[in-house]
Parts: sequence; C-alpha cells; structure tokens
Amino acid sequence: MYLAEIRAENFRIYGPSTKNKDEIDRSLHLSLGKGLSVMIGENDSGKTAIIDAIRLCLLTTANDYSRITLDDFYCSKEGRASSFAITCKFHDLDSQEQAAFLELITVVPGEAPALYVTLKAQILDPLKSSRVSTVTRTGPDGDGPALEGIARDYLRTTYLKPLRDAEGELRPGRGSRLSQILLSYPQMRNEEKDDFDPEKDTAKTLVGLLKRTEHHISQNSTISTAREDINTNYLQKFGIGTEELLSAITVAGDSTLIRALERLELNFAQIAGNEEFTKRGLGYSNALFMAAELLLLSNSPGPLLLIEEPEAHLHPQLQSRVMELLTDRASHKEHPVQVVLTTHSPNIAASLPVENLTLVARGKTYSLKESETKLDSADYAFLHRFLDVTKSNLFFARSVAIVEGDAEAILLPALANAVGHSFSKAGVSIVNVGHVGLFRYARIFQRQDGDVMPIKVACIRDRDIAPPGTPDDMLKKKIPIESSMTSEAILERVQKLEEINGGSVLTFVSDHWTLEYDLAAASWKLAALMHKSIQAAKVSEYKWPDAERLTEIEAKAATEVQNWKDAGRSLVDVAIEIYRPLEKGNASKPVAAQFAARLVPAAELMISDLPVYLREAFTYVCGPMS
Amino acid sequence: MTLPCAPDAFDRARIAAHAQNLGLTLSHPDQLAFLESTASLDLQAAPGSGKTTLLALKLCLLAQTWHASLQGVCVLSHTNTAKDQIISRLKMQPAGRVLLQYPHFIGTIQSFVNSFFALPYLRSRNCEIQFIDDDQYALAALDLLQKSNQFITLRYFLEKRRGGEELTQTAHFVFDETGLQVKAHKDLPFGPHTPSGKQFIGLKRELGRRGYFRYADMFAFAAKYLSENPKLAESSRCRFPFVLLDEMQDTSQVQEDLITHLFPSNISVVQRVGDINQRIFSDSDGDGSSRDFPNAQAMDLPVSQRFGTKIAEAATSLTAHRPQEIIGDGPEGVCALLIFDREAVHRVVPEFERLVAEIVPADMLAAAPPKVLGCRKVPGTSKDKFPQSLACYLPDVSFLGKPGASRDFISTARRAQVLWSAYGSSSEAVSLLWDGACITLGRLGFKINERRPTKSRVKYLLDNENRPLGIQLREFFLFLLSADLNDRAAWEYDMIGFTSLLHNISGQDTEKESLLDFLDFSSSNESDAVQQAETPAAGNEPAMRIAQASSIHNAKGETHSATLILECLERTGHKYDVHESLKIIRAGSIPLKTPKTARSAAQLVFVGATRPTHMLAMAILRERAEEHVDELRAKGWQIHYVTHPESQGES
Repeated sequence: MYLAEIRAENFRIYGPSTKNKDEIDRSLHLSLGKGLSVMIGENDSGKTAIIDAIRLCLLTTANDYSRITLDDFYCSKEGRASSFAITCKFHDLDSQEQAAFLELITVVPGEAPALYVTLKAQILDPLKSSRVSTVTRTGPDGDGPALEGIARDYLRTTYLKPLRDAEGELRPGRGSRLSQILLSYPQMRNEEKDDFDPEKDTAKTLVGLLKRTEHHISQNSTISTAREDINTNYLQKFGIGTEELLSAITVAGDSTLIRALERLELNFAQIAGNEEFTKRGLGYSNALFMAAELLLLSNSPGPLLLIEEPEAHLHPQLQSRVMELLTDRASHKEHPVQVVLTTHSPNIAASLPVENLTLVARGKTYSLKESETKLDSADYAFLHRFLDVTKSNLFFARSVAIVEGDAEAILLPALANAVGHSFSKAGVSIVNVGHVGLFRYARIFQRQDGDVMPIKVACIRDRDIAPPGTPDDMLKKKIPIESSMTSEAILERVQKLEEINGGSVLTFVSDHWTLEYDLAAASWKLAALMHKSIQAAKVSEYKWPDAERLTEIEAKAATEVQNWKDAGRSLVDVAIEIYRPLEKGNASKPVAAQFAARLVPAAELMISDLPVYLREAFTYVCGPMS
Repeated sequence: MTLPCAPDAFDRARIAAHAQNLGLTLSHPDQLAFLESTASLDLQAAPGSGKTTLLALKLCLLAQTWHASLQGVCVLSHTNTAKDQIISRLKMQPAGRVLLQYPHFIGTIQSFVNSFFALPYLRSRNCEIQFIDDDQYALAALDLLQKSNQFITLRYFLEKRRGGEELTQTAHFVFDETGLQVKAHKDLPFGPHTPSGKQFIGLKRELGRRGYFRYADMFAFAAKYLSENPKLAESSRCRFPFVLLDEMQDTSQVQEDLITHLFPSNISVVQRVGDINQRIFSDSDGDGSSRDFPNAQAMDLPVSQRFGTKIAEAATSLTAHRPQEIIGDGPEGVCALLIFDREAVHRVVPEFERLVAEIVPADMLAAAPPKVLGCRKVPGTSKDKFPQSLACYLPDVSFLGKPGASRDFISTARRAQVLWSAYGSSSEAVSLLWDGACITLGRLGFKINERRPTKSRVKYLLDNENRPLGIQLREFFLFLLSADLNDRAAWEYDMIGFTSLLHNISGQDTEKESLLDFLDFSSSNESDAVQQAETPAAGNEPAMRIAQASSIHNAKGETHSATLILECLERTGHKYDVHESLKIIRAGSIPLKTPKTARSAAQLVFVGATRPTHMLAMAILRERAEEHVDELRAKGWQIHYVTHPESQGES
C-alpha cells in the first residue's frame, strides 16, 4: 500500500477546485510514486503545505499534536474560506490491507481497490481561531464510514520536522522516541520479565537489570544516608496525624519495561580509550536521529515517512549519503518505505532521478514523472547523468535561462544587471548545459497536458550564420554565410532552433552569429568593450596580464575602435574584425567573457546598446522593466 | 485456519471463570464441546437452552487472548434484537467489550452486507443513498408510478390487475451471471422487453438513481461487487477468521448463499447456531427445504432451563423441522387448554389472566410479564371462518398501527428514546431524529440547492447559515429524548413548536396534509401493545389487562411467565393452528402424513409454546375441542371452559 495521490482544497496556498473548465483550478492534486517523492521549489511555493496536508489527514506517529488554525484556511481576494478538505488516496493494498480496510475501500470498476481518507475541517467561529471542527472519513468524496481506532493508527505517518531538535528527540524521558523505537522490536516482549535474583545478584532482562540497579542503589551507603536525612529531618515534620511520609531514591518510579526504555539514550559511541563524552556536531546528531526513525519505520506496518529539508545541518557529502540511504529504503524489496520530502538542496535534487521530483511553484505542483512531462525515457537517463549540482539550480528558480556556453553563463548576468534587469532579484537561474542536450533540459518544463508552468524558461542560442563579408578563413565547415542563403533558408534554420518552444519555454536566437559577435555588432559601445576583452584574452593565451598591462591593452583597443569608427567603417565590418581572434582560436571565449564581465559595470550600457535577442530574453525572464 | 488466539484460550479454567461471570451453569457435555471447538460447526439449541449466554461466553473467550489488531471476529444475527442481546451481555464483561469495535463486527447480516459490500459498491459509483427501507420504498415507488408520465404504459397495465401496483413496490434487484435483474415478490406478468417490462425496469432504476433502495437490493449489489472483485471474498476471510452466525434458522437462501460464498466452512471457521424448529415460513422464501442447517454432525443443546417437563413434552412433539427431545430443566409449569364458546370469545384473555394470577408467582409475573399470542393480528377475507385473528379476541386493541419507525415521527422519536435509554447511544438516537426532521422538511417541500434535504445537507446549512436555529433544533431533540411520548396533548403541543421551528428553517409557511399525518400522534401499541401492566386491583373487579398481545413472529426470542396462544387461521386460511397443533401434541410427534399447511402452523405454534416459564395455555373453539380433551387431560393438561356470562362457567 502506498500513498498514490493527495488532494487539497482551500488549504493554505491551495485554493478551491473548479467545476467548469474555464476557471483556474487552484486546488492541490498531486500523484506520488511508490518510493521516493521529492518536492522542490522556491520558498513559499507550497511544499510544506503538501507535507502538512498529508500529516494532518493521516496523523503522525510522534505524540506531537498539531492543531488546525485559522491560517490553514485558504485566503483569496473574496476572503477566507470557511472549510477545507484534504484527501489521501492509497493504492496497491495487499490482501491483508484490503481485509483490514474492507468496509472502507472503494473499488471503481476496472481499477484496483483504493482507500480514500478525507479530512474535512470547518471554522466554527471566525473570532476564535481555535474553534475548528474536523472529521475524517473514507470514500472518494469523504462520505463513507469514519476511520476509527486501529485502522486510523495503521495509517499514521512518521514526520521529521524541518528544524528538528535531534538531540532533544534522542534524550531520555517520558515517551521518548528511542523508547518507542525499541518497543517496536518484537523481541522486546521477552524483556518484560523480571528475572532479578537478589540472592545470586543476577539479572538478564532489561526489567531485571533495572530492578538490580534499584536494589544496589538503595543499598549504597551514601544514598541511604541521604534518604535517612530527608526522612528524619524533613519529611517527618510534614506528616499530619499518624500518616508518615517516606522518601525513596530510585532510577525510575516504577520498574516496568517502558520505564527502563525511557531511561535509555541514543548517542555516538565513544572512541576507545576515551571515557569522556564529547558532543558531536548537529549534523551527525541529525543523521543519527534519521537512522533511528528509519529503523522504527521498517518495523511498522504502514510505512510513510515525511521529511522536511533532510539537508538541514548536513554538509553536502552527508546529504548525498542520507539520500542514498533513503533511496535504498524506498526501494527495499520486502519492507519498502514510502518517503515524501521537501528540499532546497541542489545536492539532493541532483542526486535523485528526475522522475522522483515534483516541482512546486506558486501553489501548483508539477510532477516530473514520465507520464506528466514531455521528457522521454532517453531524456530521463540523460538528465540523471548530466544534471549536476550546479544545473539543479533550475529547480529552485522563478525563471531559468538555459545557455550553451561558459561565456553566456558569465556574461549574461552582468549584462542584464548593467541594463537594470537583475537576475538575482528576479530569481533567475542561469544554467549552462554546454553543447549538448539543451532541448532535454527545456522539456523538464513542458507538460504532457499542455499546462504552462509559472517558471519562465529562456533558451538562449546562437544562430550561427556568419554575416556577409566574413572572410573565408573565418568560416568553419558548418557555418554558412548569410549572403549565400535565401531568406527562407535562414528562417528555416531559426525555426529549427526554436522547435523546442512550448509551454513556458521560449527560445531566443541570436540575431546573427554568436554571442560575442552579436555583442560587438550591436553598438559601438559594446564593440569597444568586446575588442578590449578579446585583446586581453588573446594576450592571456601566453601570459596573464597584470593590471598595468591590462590598462595598456584596453587603451590600445579603445583607440583602435575609435579610429575604425572615425574611418567610417561599418559596425558589421568592425565586429568581424573584433571577433576574429575568438573564431580563429587565438583567444579563449570564457576568458574573453571574463574580461568583458569585468568591464560591463563601468561601460554605462543602455538597454538599446544590447542585441535585440538579449533585450527580449531579459524582458522574458526578468519581467518588463519597472 | 488457526485463530489469532492464545493456545490456551479455551481451556477449562478460563471457561469456568467466564461461566461464573455470566451466571451460566455448564451441565450438558455439548456446551463444553461447543465452547472448546475452534472448527466450523453447527449447534442446534432448544428454546431456553441459554444459547445467547453461551455465545457471549464463547466470544469472551475469543476476545480475551485475541492478538490480531487488524483481524476480527464477525458475529452475525438475523434480527437486531438478537444482536442487541449478545452486545448487552458482552458489554458486561471487560474481555467482551473489545469485540464491540474495529476490527470486529457484530450486527445483522443485512448490516454486514451493507457496510462491507453494498455501501462501498454504491459509494464507488457515486450513488448518494437516501434510504434503504422497504416501507419508504413502497411509498416512493407508488408515488413515482402515479405521478410520472414516463411510466404511463406500466401504470395502465398494473392498475387493471389486482395487486398490480404492489409489484413495483416490491421490485428488487437480483444479481445473476448476466448482471442486475429486476424481480418482484411474484412473477411478473410481462417480459422484460415489452413496453411495460421496460418501464418496470426503468422505474426501478430511476428510484435507484434517486438513492431509494430496498433491503434486498443490497444483497444484489453485494453479489455484483463480489463478482466484479473476486479478491474481496478472500479479503473478507482474511479480515474475519472466525464467524459466528446466530439465528441461523432464519437466514434466507440469498443470505446463506452469500455467507457461504464469503466464508466457506472448510476454509474459515464458521460456527452456526440456531434452532431450526423455530424457523418461521414467510411468504417470500418459498420452500426452504434446501437448507443444510443444522448439518448431520450438529451439536445439540436439548436442555431448556426455561420450562419444566410438561411444557417440554408439548414442545418436543412440535419440533417439526428436526425432531429434538427437549429436556425441561426449568420450573415445573402448567399446560392448560381454554375451551371457549363462540359468544365468549372476548372472555378468553380475561380468563387467562385470572388463571395466571392464580398459578404464576407474583415476582415471576413482574420479571417476565405474560403474553397473548396469535399468528395473525387482523382477520383475513374469508367470512365463515372463526376465530381468525387476535382482533377477534381483543376487539378494542388496534393492530393496524403504522408499522416502521419511518412512517410517522412519533415512532421515530420512540425508537430514539429506546436507543438512548437502553444503550446510551446518543449519536444513533439523535441521528434518527435528524432523519425524522429531514423527512418532515422534505414534506414541507423544502429543497437545498434544488436537492432533497438530507441529514448532511440540512446540518451543513444550519451550521453555516443559521447556527441559532440549528441549536434550537438540537435542543428540541434533547427535549424529545426525555419527553413523555404517551401523552397525546403534550405531543400535539410539542409538534406545534416543532412545525414552527421547521417553518423557520425552510422559510415556508404552508400547511401540508402529508406533514400533519407524519407528525400525528399514534398510540404506541402497534406490534408490541404496551398496555399498562398494573397490578390487579383488589376485590372481585376483573383485573386490568396485564397481558400484552402480539403476533407469534414478534415474540421470537422472548421469555414470558405465561403464554396464551389464541387459535387463529393459519397462513393459507384453511386450517386452525391450535387445532392442528393439538393433534400433533396428542400424537407425541408429527405424524408422517401431516400436510404441509398443518406442519407450518405447528412450527409457528412451537415458537409460541416455548416462550413460557410457568404456564402454557392454548385457546380453542369448543366445536373443535372435544376430540382433544381426554387425551390432553391424560397428559396432565388442565382443561378450562370459557362460557358466556349467562351460562355457568365451569372449570
């Protein structure tokens, strides 16, 4: 049995569902896979609401009770909703589970039996936010029988809070987590027997050991002195009438098994020879805590684990280790554990197969399962290999600029910033995919059902057509020259590059050739900037210029451009000349971009100085200028 | 299948401890054998053999060491009364109380089938159920037939036939290999493909779309659900490794088929308990001879603690289905024959009461009041037969009361009071009252968003839009639960308040005839006449009536201090039941050539005759009595003559 679907209406960021197709459905409707499901997305996008929806509906194993309050109800312009509903749908019930939920399951013809659990909450009195009535029932519309007793218990989830107090959770005390974990061992029943023999002073079971300890403590001379002292000098003075008050100093109030377990504490083992306890870092405590919870889960019948931000307090390598463990548990053959987690960690996002991810953006969920996206199985395999930590940034962005080279990755944010479009402010991630598979990344954002995601994706690509007048020695085999092409052929080439458009994905093809050429050809200001950078890069091929040398090179380049301009040469002509070292391999593109990025802030660029395609791309990903 | 119980769950020490708690003495070897058995078995239990207590004991034993948290014990009975009796005994035992909740199930076969199969089936088809009730269905079916032009051909066809409309009222689904079929209590006078036949099916389906169902429909849905999802039967066996069937004799063929399909006795542990001799024929189930209960290896509980040897002897001779030597181990009682003259028919019951006061100790009278039984409540159509029914003896008692709690609000209120006081179940009681209020609102023509006012809709409306009215309505419910429902004036006054409350909710102010009907006062003597059981006044004034009258059917499972069986016409209207039974009692057992009608009359009398602890009386008209007198007197029966006041009474 696993949680296959979660629906929520009017719950927090998720609004009402709609009956007619014209209105936007604002409700949550998310399908989950059997093993691991990971919610990713920016802050306040609705990830936690999903986790909370599940845990409010199914309750959690820990004794933390979370109350539904007024701010759990969806709020729109029209005001606050007065009720919300959360439905969890379980699939794949084995015959024992079918038996356990026999009167509660729903069998739609042609489908396997499913169990629906619906929580409905209603505000009783808007003035008192605590007055919320809730009811949990089964059936597809939540009008079946109520879920009671043990059946309800069976569905409880294990929930790990985002800012968890790992050390606190593992500390001894009443109802401690560790005692619950230990109790879940079937063999623990045998420990309940008291086998303490005062004559021989032997004990083997936990209860026996506790009894034995109690026995020795009460025999200890200092302890008994203290006890006598309390009794005779103080307690007896409080006695009223014939009643006599007596104290006892013990380890546990009563020597039952549960008390014995509550005395125990989970810690890292000491290094041999070192008796002193050293406190380990928060991260390791967290890992220990998660290990303990997983242990409890694999012993429990209805295993669903909810984790918020498993990366909390963990360094990147430990994050990957934790994810490996979770993946392993989730795909376990005999006792698979279903895991639903939220994360902000690109490390975690990058370490998982893309199909396990669900993008959450502004109150909408987009599962990246094969059935939901336009990605095909080859794409999944590709992405699993190539989507690394840096690229997985794209899952957390408001908009994404996908580029094909380092130069773009370095230069574009600087250019955008210079003309008043800030990538960081607009939440734009720039993803450099190199020369391969741009379309595969773009398809992540394209939905099977044609839905347009609220994440804007700009693919910024080179047209790769050399301008007329480009000398033959600069033309590589595949690069055609504009003058040799018909306008239809040019159009066809551009359309081919734009083929990946669809949904929120839009391609911006350079106006002419490459980024560097197009920049140089866009305006005299940029021509000068590019000439300076490329010349500096050319020199850097042999020796990295120091500051003095750099100023020299830049001054020389600036004069050259000014002279060309004064000589009345066309911008196209000059741009070809400026670009030549890059195309001929006399200078490195990334290095040139590096120098250019350095010069951009001081260049006093105007939006009109930029090539047209970049202006459009910036407007698309950052939104129109305010 | 091994049960999820401790290996020593049924050892003697445990049995003895529980038996003591429940006040049961174990005297017959089969009692122990039944308690210890964890295999499928049949148990034939004579009346008064302490069967219910024995079942409760067995269930306590099971519950005490039951360790499966998601598997349970399933206890099925035929009537709610039997279920309630088991529950009330289990409630008193700490071990037994566990069985009252998930994952266990205790209930009628109907409610079992509803909650595990039929309702999930309807839910999965998004069908919103308005009611499952034969009486309400009959009203709705007739209403639709008469008012909708969609069924005009059918209406004309049925109007011309005697009892034609009744066919639509009893139309129910039946599931076979080809799917859901529609059948009625009799064969249909048209084929399914004729215009009338099509409309007949159309009418049934239309009522189904509206969420109106009959009890029998649920079995068809369950069968369909199970045939579409064959794995569910296996899941049921997995959920309930132990099944206990009480009142097995009364399960119908359809019920038995379903239960056997779900729980084959060679796979699950199915223990079936009942008294086949108390089986009562009804019109609908035809020839029940195909039943296999009790099977050949059935255990036997022949010892009755209820009555002594005399009544036991009479009862033994009436064991029609399966001869059983019933051993009377209770107080020694009296068998009496009241022979009455035609003119003295009204004096039969008073004479009985006089005898009861003489013979039965007063404390017994109070503990188990005497009762007057007859197989018919009201006379049939034949003119020349006498006496025909209870009404012939007791003309002042109305037996034509409106049956079913749903027909009028006061019955609903009474049922709610019983639930509230007997089981402390406020939720069930209030839920009944909500239903009643919703029916009332429906009769007012009130609609919520163009839909019928169902309980959930009305509650939602009130809670969201008019909370004060909702509170008022609830306060009224609370008031009703403790109101005196036998006082006509008080009731009528209360209903004025209720009506105005409902008018406020519906925003309408129309008087409707059907509404007034529904809220009308009716006395509570319908089937169970509640005549005040006052102690007989001193002096020679004839005692106030102390015996209640009811049909034999309704007396099942009861215990009386004294029982009078009034001679009535048996089912087919050809024979007199007491007369036929006396023939059999004289013979000592049922003679082989006894006709079927006499046999079934005797079966019914058997049920009545096994109720009393101290006195069994039968009344017979003088003209048929003479042949019986001598032989019965020889068997130790008392003979009393009830004559008209002018002639001299003689005893």
